[in-house]
Amino acid sequence: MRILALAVLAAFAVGACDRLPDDLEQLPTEQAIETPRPPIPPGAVPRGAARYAAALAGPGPAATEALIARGRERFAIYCTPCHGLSGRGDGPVTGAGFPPARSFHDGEVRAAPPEHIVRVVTHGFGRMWPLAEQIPPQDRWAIAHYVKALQAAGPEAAP
Amino acid sequence: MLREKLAGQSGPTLWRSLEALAETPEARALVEAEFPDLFRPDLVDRRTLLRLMAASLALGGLAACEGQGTFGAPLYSHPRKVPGHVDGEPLVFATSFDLDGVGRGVLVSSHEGRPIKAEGNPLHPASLGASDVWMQAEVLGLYDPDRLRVPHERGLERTWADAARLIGAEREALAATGGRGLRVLAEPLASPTRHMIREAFARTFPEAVWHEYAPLHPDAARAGAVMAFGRPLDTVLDLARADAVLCLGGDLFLEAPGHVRYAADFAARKREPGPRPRLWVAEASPSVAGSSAHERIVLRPREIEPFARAVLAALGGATARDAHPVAARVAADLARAGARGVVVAGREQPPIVHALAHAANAALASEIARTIEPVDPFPTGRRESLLDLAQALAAGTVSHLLILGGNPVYDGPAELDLANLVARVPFSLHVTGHRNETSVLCRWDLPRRHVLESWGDVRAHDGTVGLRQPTTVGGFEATTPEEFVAGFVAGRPQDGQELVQALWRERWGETFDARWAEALEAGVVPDTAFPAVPVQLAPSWDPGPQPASGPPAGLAVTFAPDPAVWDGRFSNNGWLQELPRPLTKIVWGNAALIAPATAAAHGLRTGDLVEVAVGGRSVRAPAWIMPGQAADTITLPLGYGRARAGKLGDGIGFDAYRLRTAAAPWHAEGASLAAIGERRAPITTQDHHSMEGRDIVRVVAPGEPAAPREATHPPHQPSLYPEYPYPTHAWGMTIDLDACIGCNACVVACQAENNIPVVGPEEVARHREMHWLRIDRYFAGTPAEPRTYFHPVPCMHCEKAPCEVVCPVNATVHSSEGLNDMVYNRCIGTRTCSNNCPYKVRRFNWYEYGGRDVGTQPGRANPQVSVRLRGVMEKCTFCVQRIGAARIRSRIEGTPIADGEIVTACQQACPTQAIVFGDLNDKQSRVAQLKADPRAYGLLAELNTQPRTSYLAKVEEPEEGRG
Repeated sequence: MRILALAVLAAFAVGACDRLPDDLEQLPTEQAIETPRPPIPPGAVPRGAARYAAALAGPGPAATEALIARGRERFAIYCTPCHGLSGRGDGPVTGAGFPPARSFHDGEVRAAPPEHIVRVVTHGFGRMWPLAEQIPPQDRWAIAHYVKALQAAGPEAAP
Repeated sequence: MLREKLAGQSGPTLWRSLEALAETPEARALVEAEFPDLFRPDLVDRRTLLRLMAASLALGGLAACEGQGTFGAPLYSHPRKVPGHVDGEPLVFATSFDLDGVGRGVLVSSHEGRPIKAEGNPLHPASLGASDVWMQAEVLGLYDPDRLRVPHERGLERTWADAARLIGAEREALAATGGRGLRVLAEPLASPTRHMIREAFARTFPEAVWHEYAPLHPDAARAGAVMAFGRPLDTVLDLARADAVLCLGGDLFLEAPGHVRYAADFAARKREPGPRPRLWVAEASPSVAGSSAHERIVLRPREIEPFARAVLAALGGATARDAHPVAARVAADLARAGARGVVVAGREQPPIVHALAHAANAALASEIARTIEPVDPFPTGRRESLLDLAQALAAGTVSHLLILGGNPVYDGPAELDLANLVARVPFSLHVTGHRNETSVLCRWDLPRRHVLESWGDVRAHDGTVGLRQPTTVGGFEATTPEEFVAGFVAGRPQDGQELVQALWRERWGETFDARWAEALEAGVVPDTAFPAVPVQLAPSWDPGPQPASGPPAGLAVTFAPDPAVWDGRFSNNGWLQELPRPLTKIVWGNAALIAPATAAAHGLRTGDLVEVAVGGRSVRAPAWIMPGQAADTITLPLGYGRARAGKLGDGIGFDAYRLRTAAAPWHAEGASLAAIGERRAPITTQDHHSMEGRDIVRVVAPGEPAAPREATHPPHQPSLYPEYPYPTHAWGMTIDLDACIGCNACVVACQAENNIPVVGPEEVARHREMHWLRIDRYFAGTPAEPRTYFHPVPCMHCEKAPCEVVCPVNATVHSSEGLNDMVYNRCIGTRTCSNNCPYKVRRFNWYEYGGRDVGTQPGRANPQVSVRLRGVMEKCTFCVQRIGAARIRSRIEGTPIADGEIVTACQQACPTQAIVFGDLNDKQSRVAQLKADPRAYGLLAELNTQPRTSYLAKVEEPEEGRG
């Protein structure tokens, strides 16, 4: 049981680990994990793929006040733990020893278009996990535009 | 005895079996016992049984991997996630299945990379969103533990590398001689990509010959078109506009290419206001289409051609000599319908009958029958093609034989002795899903990809191309016939996706990328249906006189596809094996169907083992007395008696192919029938779960309400129990008996959706089948020419449910939305609820049918539905998981649940939309409006159960109004 637990933990903790350990097959059947299959076979296109791609394609919805307000709310929920309310990468997790995220107010990130932010939310970036599952496309645009507004206000502006 | 019983009757009486009609003591005992075999432990061999269960329940599990790093990796690592996809929700892929090479579009939902459920693709012309038993059951085939997983050479396992090397060496030798001595035997497949590959094969191996064969292929239809029009053409029907239809054999709603669409169209036509369409079916053995016919004409197989001639003559104003008395009435009906009339011939009819049907349609100037170019062109008939091959094999001129799919040794004509011929070929190879009767005689057997793992394209019956894409990555390395042949041509392995893309890239050129993604998502390539070809009868067309035939000697034998295992290709599929056949309700086997009169003449009872002999060959089969069967005609369903189907399909039933010759593939005269003094009763569910002949199926005349009984038994009688309030939703269902054709699609769909286990033949014999939805079949009238009624019975979700009040542990309770819920974890298995259910819809898990006892997890199981344990009652839930999914969506999006948003599995599968589900609180919903229909009635409503499922009475024109 402990072997299994370790194996599973290892598989989850190290994202790059792509195979379950070999000794898993030695485990009694009631402890065996059914090996998941890739959700989409290479080349296959599930229903809704075109609609989803269209929802993520630039330039996205116009940055209205309502959209930015929505983005602010979603940002507070999903992004602040790591990125901090101001976007400086000083969220509460850094206090627990987690490496800080890059500040939104760095030159390179400041120049990134909203499409880039949507892409990062969708696919993840570096240590950041993809949040596509939690945040629907429209909200990703809202967050992206809010981040742009945050950047425009500058690092010292109170959020 | 039967006649005596019937003689004393007046008015319509429904009966399920001849035994029940005669009220034999055995039949009475069956009806009286709630659990008839409770005290008969003699048959118990629990281990054997559980092994059987496990085999049908999929062992996806820890299979080997295809390619390092693509399979077996944890789903929840980052690269595995599908952006935007919420884990736990299914992904839906549009793809195409095929039956006998004709495409059917499906939507397959897949959970965590596992395909779980197939539905019809609403964009596909052959399904319009509905499905049939084979589309539903195909998914189970993917998880069949008996699939061939590794290449074999002479029965010994080989690696793919060895296979490629050794087969490659043979290929080089053949390429040098242009393929002399090389033959291919493939299954027909109406696929543009296959066609392209076949042409490439012919270029590389000009000396080689390509043969095709499928045992049920409608060769005669094309031969008939050649007779009538001078060239091969296919026919597509537009039944949505038909006023009068005459079917000459075949089963338009269950077996014809495009049958799902035809059933849907005809049901839609019946719903239109105004005069109802007329469907006449002339046939020897009862069929699904015959059961929903306005009038069924029972004819011996040899009488169908004279009947067709008589109808044609009457349409031309002439009267044939000795014409069948009904022919003139049918012709008058057709003539009245004119361009909206049509004559259709079944696949088992000889070419002349097809030609006569074409001539009749020409005489009517029918707009219903549309002729198109053949969707699957092939230079000869498929049966002739196999005969050519057999000749070459016998002559010893074949050195290399590549068999792509199929199982010709089992299903080929009996006289060819293909087993011997194939075994003699020096190099033979079989690309096959199972190591079947043919594979074991071949030198090489290569595992074939399941259709859910394959790339391809296939044309529907009207020519529309449906694309096929994989919905899962195979658990082991395999190939498709197309990939194999393309690889054989090119001399190196070919990728299935690239093959299909190559063809469409060539057709689409610049616009390929956009169109490909779009077509793949939709499942169909737009605007590929074949246009109608205007035709005229060929100048050479002359039906000539009816060939004189002497008085018939002996009996006639007809061969028919099995309504579940088809030609035998689905033999190892537990869902289909355990599916009660529409007309006989036989499961796990087949039987020789004989007419009551013939049985009486031979002194036979149902279950007597008989020897059927024709042309010097004979088989032993259990007799089944089939009401409505033509006299002197024995119908033998194909697809049984398999020796190497797998754990489930081996050794059950009898093999009718052993009587079937190339000269008489569908019907043979001069047969004999003899009882051999033994009994082997087929297993049937026809008397299970009886509601004891109460007023169950109601029949009304057009425009007449189904009310009479409600007048004496008001649906809402006073009750001691308080009424429930339903502030939000109140779910309900209607089932239209006038639309139901009894095709069984809903039964398999329910089984697939709700993880309903397969229990095996012994358990079904003890009334322990687990189907939550059953279709009762009733006869009315005389056994010789009965009317047939189908009656789907799921849980009624009674407002005053008798089951709820008797449960000692509150395991079955009323939900706030009106469902009769079953709480599995509370159930202690007293079965009192079942005893108290007047509809007999509750099922009990006598064993752990789900298979945990033998250490297997059902990999195919729908993760949205609990897998029930041993000792627990279960029943229809109104697909509560689908209601839950809609509720979640509604709360997330903040929009109410729309009418029609929740579709139960049975409703979704139904080709004729007989089943409608919805919210009774919403007075505008379809179901609420149907409940207000005058035809609506509650089943056993006089018991004051206040069922939530209402039936709409069957509509029949009164007897004297016919004709």
